Amino acid sequence: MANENVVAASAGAAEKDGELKRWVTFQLDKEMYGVNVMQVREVLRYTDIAPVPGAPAYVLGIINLRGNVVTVIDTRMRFGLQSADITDSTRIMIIESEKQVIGILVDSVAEVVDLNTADIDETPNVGTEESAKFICGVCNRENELLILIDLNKLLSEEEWQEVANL
Amino acid sequence: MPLSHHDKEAQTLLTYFQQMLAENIEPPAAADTAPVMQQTAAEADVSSQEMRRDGQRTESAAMQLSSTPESKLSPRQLQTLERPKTQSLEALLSSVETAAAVAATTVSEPVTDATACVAAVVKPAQVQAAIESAPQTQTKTAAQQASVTTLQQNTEVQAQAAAEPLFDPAAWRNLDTLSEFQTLFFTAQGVRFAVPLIDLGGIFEYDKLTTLFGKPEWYLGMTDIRGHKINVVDTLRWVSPDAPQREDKYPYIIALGQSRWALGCDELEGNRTIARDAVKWRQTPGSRPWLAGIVKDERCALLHVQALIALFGRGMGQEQILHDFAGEA
Repeated sequence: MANENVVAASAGAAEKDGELKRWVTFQLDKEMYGVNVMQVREVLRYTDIAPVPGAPAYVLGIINLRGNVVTVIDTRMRFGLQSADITDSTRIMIIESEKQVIGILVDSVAEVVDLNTADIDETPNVGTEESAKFICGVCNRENELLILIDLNKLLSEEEWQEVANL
Repeated sequence: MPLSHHDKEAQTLLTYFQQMLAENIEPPAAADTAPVMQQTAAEADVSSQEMRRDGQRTESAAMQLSSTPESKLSPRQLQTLERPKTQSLEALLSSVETAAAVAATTVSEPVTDATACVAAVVKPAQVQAAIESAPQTQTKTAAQQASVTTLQQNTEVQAQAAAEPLFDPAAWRNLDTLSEFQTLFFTAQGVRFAVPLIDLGGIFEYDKLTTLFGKPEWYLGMTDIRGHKINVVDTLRWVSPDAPQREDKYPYIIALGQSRWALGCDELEGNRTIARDAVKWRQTPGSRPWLAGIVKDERCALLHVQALIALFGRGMGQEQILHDFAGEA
């Protein structure tokens, strides 16, 4: 029954004008967010993050991912949210932006969803804070709104450069 | 004997309203009023057609609202309406004017320290009392009926949002109303507001508000109303940035026209027909382009919905409004 509903929902989404895109959803605080699945390399359980002396405040530290050093960003701080304790659900999402590979710490990772671009609405042009630029749209998903994030805008040009030079 | 703070406030308010009411202001004639925004002739034509359609729809909503026994109040009854639990509107507005005086030296309306002080303090206990004393059955009935009759209007939300005209202070015009028009009265954190019913897009209860980071404090978030994403504004916080941060959510939201914007509302007081001359109309936007006028007997703000939509659409809080409009005052 559940599968039928999923198939029906997918068929309905495909019938609309627009393009189907897949998003990985994750939770931060009380809200659900989504990032383009094509930018997500893998999802890791929380492992110790080694702090980097002198690193910017939004950098939690670095992890060793199969021999490669990956910088982990404090997503809560970046989104202007209060910090929270690490739990069993905490995950590090390894993402590949246009600039480089980084990790983002999230409260939990939920699922992969198909969204029709026609169903994605822009958010109002309200506020001048930098973080408002991260949001590329919102979409209805099971009676709640999913906030879609543009990972390429998570850091400014200078900050990407800064992270690369850590 | 020195005047007490209460006496000073009363005296200041009396002076304020005497000055306002003494101004030689003619309400704009219906035929002479232009749309609130600058539009091309074609856009204006389409807009006027939409407004007529909207008017028909909202009139039906108004009829349903007025069919509730609680909302059948005549203008005569309206004059004697008590408002023991609402905040002083003039004090609140004075707060905005005070800010305008700081931002620019061209403010034309009186500002006093006493009213500003009153406006700066929104007493939580008073607010709570206002919420608790709300007649739940009345508000629920009104909300549900309005919700049912106006849900269809939101199908045009997206198209209308795309057609939102650019806001131009020089093109500001006040509301074009009939000699009598239906008005919804509501309170937000103890402050009473009025809005012409014809400009309403609906009154809704909502379950979840999705907060978006990076937004100003007056922007509460986004909610889903039957598949449409509606932006919810903290009404009092937007009008008066000094108002305290709200802890709980507003029980109702009032959708503005066909836009994606809605005002938070604590209590729906019902709709009443008021005469056009019962309103002290504003001729210029001043530092409050969202204020169409003051309902004299109620002493509450009559909101200029089209201006609100345009201001919200451009993400303008009071600070930016003061910056952009202070020169026009």
